[in-house]
Amino acid sequence: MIKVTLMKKVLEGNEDAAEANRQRMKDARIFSVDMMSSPGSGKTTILERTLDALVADLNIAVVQGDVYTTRDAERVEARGARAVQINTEGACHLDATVVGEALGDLDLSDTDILFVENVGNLICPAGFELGTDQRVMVLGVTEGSDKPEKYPAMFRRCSVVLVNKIDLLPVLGMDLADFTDAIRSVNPEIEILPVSALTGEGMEAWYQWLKDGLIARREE
Amino acid sequence: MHEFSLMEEVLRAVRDSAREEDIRRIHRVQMTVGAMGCAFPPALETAFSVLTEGDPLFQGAALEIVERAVRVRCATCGWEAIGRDARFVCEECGSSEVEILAGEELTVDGYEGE
Ligand SMILES: Nc1nc2c(ncn2[C@@H]2O[C@H](COP(=O)(O)OP(=O)(O)O)[C@@H](O)[C@H]2O)c(=O)[nH]1
Ligand SMILES: [Mg+2]
Ligand SMILES: [Zn+2]
Repeated sequence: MIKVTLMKKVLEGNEDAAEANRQRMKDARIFSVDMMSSPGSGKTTILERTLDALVADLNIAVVQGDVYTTRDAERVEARGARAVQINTEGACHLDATVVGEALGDLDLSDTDILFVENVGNLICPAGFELGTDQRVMVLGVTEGSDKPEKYPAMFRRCSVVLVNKIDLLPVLGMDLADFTDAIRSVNPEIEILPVSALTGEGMEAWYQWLKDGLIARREE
Repeated sequence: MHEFSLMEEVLRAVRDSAREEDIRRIHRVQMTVGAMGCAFPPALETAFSVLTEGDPLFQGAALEIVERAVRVRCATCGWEAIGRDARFVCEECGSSEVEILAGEELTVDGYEGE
């Protein structure tokens, strides 16, 4: 009997592919953001509104991976983005390799900001870095405030959380503090941006965060 | 259910190594999975049995998973907590400098065979 020690990270292959994506987008001076959430939190709606606000000045590309809503690529294309749909065929998350293939289908030289709309899922995407500059969570207030504690891995690995659908807080009889407290208890450093993609409330802070990210990338 | 693609990575690593070591029969494969390791052990076990079925290299082989709870420690005052009590803000001093000591593992540790 032979005992062999491997001590190998299972996600090592994905991490290598993510690093390649990161370098590629850095070389092309693109600021990139991975958008993650449960299905229906409002990722596509946020992207639509963001495109309306920024597309006059910036070239924006979207890698669409959310399988729950098949028309998402068309929705963002209609607002002026270049979109690539990834056919995830029932997969529960994107990985860095499929995103790398999608990057090959885009004209990176001509892109300022690249969004990846990840598959709606609060568990699986956490472990799979895609190589974007930032990872952002969207948490719809209709999902309840216990999500951060139930899925800490996701909230631990993101730098920003958009608390969306705040227009519905009065209807739900909830306070924003219910959400900010719950989020901070798992990640005290995370930046929290309360927004409504429906009414536009709070979205300016998000656009500013994106512009700051792009400026930082260009100054590197 | 991404455990199938995770298990494909695990089996690839084991197969590559077994070829190099000239091992023809594997008896057990060992993994460590943290509670925040992004994988569900029962689903890994299912993936293991489905993906090794009919493969003589893995005939009769078992998957052994060591599960690790989340363990945290406050870098300011030394407070420690484990499992369900593991918070990321210190319960003693309120500091947010809480380090994760364990619980994020997802590794293939090794295997035994001949
Ligand atoms: N009330 C309200 N509804 C929203 C808001 N943002 C998105 N929605 C709705 O939530 C549903 C799911 O949105 P969608 O953008 O497709 O979610 P995705 O699955 O995360 O891409 C749609 O019916 C949207 O109109 C919001 O800020 N307020
Ligand atoms: Mg969508
Ligand atoms: Zn403390």
